[in-house]
Amino acid sequence: MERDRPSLTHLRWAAIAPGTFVVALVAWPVAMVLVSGIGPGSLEVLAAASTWRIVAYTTAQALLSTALSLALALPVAYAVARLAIPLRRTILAVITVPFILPTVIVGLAFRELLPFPGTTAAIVVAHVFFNVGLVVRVVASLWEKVDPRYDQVGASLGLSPVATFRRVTLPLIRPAVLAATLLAFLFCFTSFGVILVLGDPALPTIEVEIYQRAIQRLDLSGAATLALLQLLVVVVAVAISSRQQEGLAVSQRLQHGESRQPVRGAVAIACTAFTYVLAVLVVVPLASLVSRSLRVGDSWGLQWYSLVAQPADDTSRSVPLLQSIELSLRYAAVATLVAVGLGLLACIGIQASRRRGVWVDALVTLPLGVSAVTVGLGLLLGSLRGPVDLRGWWLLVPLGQALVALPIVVRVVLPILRSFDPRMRDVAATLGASPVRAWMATEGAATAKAIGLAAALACAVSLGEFGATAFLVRLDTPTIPVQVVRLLGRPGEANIGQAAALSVILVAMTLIVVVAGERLRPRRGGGW
Amino acid sequence: MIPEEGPRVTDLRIDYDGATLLDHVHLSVSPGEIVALLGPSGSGKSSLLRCIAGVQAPESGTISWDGVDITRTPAHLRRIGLVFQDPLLFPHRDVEGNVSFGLRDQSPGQRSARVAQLLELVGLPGFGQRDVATLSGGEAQRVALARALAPRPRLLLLDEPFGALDRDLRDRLGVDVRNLLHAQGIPAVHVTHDRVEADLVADRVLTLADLTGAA
Repeated sequence: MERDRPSLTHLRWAAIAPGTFVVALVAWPVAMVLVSGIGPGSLEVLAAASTWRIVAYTTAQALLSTALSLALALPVAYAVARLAIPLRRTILAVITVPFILPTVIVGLAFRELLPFPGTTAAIVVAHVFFNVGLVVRVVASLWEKVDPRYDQVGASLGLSPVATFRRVTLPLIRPAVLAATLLAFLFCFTSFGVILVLGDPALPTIEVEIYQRAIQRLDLSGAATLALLQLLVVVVAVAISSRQQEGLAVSQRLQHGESRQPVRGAVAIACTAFTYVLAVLVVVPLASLVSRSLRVGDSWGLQWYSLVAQPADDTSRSVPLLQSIELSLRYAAVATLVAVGLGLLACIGIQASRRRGVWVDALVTLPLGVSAVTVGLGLLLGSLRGPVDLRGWWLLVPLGQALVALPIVVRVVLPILRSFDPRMRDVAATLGASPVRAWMATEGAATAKAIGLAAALACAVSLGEFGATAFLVRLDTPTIPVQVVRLLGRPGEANIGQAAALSVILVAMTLIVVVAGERLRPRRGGGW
Repeated sequence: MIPEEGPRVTDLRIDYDGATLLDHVHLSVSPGEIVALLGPSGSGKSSLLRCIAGVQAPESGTISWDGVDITRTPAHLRRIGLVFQDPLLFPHRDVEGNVSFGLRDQSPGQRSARVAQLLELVGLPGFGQRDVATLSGGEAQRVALARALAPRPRLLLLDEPFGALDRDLRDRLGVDVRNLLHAQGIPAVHVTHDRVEADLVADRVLTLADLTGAA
């Protein structure tokens, strides 16, 4: 019953700007990758056994990381969704922290913490660290809305608790479990910063190999071929997941209020205990990073922090670290403005064009599936081969970051917009509100807080972004994550110390931004 | 010929999903009159109200007021109030913020006086600061009614406003609404599928067939 709203049809045009932006910055670069990928060199790459070893290794580590993340996250999701555990909200916030941390910095933290850096096990541990919170959030947000009486029906029909979980609960929460699995797999499969810092140099993943070919060996067509292979796996994974989702579209009435039971029984106690242990474990890598940044030789001090403030010297680094901080902030500010502005337009356009909005939605979500490295490589190729030579143009960096942040903005704002009954605007109109005021007073007012949260997340993502930035940034203008990787590439305690100090500063900046945004999180709705 | 007064719908056609839902619809409402419109759900009653309110455009035909064509006038300039089956209260505003929404051009003093007066009228005195999420179904629908009446509309459209309430409350509110509208002299079109409710509220009861058949 929401058709023929003549005053609103023009809002569909709002989708044009973000649509064009994504086409120009994702579809075009991806097309560049496609075009460059198909060449005489690509057959050579495809024929090489090493290529397939890399693809197999990337897939294997991603599958292992995803499986472990799921196994650890399900008991926590149960405790958070179903049980009235003390400090529930705090725990939920703490286990979500890793997801917003810069990948390079987490890589460094685990490199200092684990006794086995430079191994597959180290990568998997870091990936699990990143994804457990995400899986818990996605699964729990559905689980807490599933009517708990279904479980009671199962029990009353003589099912054991395990059988109840397997035959009643799991089918009901499976859409969320599948969605979380796909997200985790995509994250691990396209992971770059973590592997560059923490992985075994002799065992590159696709992303690392793309980077090394493009930047170090200047083999752009080889890099493009690999990006193509990677894209193919991503498409297959998404296709499998949506096939699975279709098969199990169970329509159930979700409850609005949440009812949580007291922690009673062995299973509930075990899950609760495990949740607390995990929440504490999440803090350990960060603590180790802070302690590394304060350890100077055999004693403690702020020497590494004071070096950050000093001008560059020729021996250890070429760009003052303070300048990286300023650069990161400037790029992140531009990227946030672009991502929020376009994200908002996209949401309004998606909302106004209804059925056709699905296409805009898919388009702006594209950067979520395409890896940041592919985006960076595509933009680099585009800037080299476009009509104008844009290589080294500073704006490319924030534009790439905005592209990576755009889907998050849309995912945060759109559900709030959608949860709003469009008839509210009709009510406002019949009360004498002009179309603009009607929108501002209804959807506008309701999404104001969501926009604030989206801006904070976009800013955090841009600050820590490494995959796309690594390709686009000029040598003399490194952002913090780029500077950290450079410092780690050089020997000596001073470089690691400064990298740790810089990392702590970046983590602090990220946390401040996100905590400020979280304060704006809307009370109702919103999965993220 | 008698000069036209108030709202008049002439030869209206409304489509839905490419098919014609209603055609050759004629309706006029006398000053202060409450018309009930009976018909099964899905028959196009709601669409007709949406067209009169201006939040939906008819395929053809005219809607006029005192003989002036308002078919193309935007909803916010028509001064025609609309109450849905769901209260659709703005969740981010309290009761007072909802009721005063249509009173923008008044001073704050006038506004709060009007809000207090309306809350009194709908039987919810002192509810101004309440969060709308804490209201019961009947209370929320009363607030929606107060909100629609506050800017003194020249016509009020009620789209199954008590559909979600139980019988007892429905009858009570029906009588209240009738008295309220008559006291303020506001004409209304009340859509319902409940014969008892229609007789209770309206001065004249019509079916969709009455609107389309005898033109």
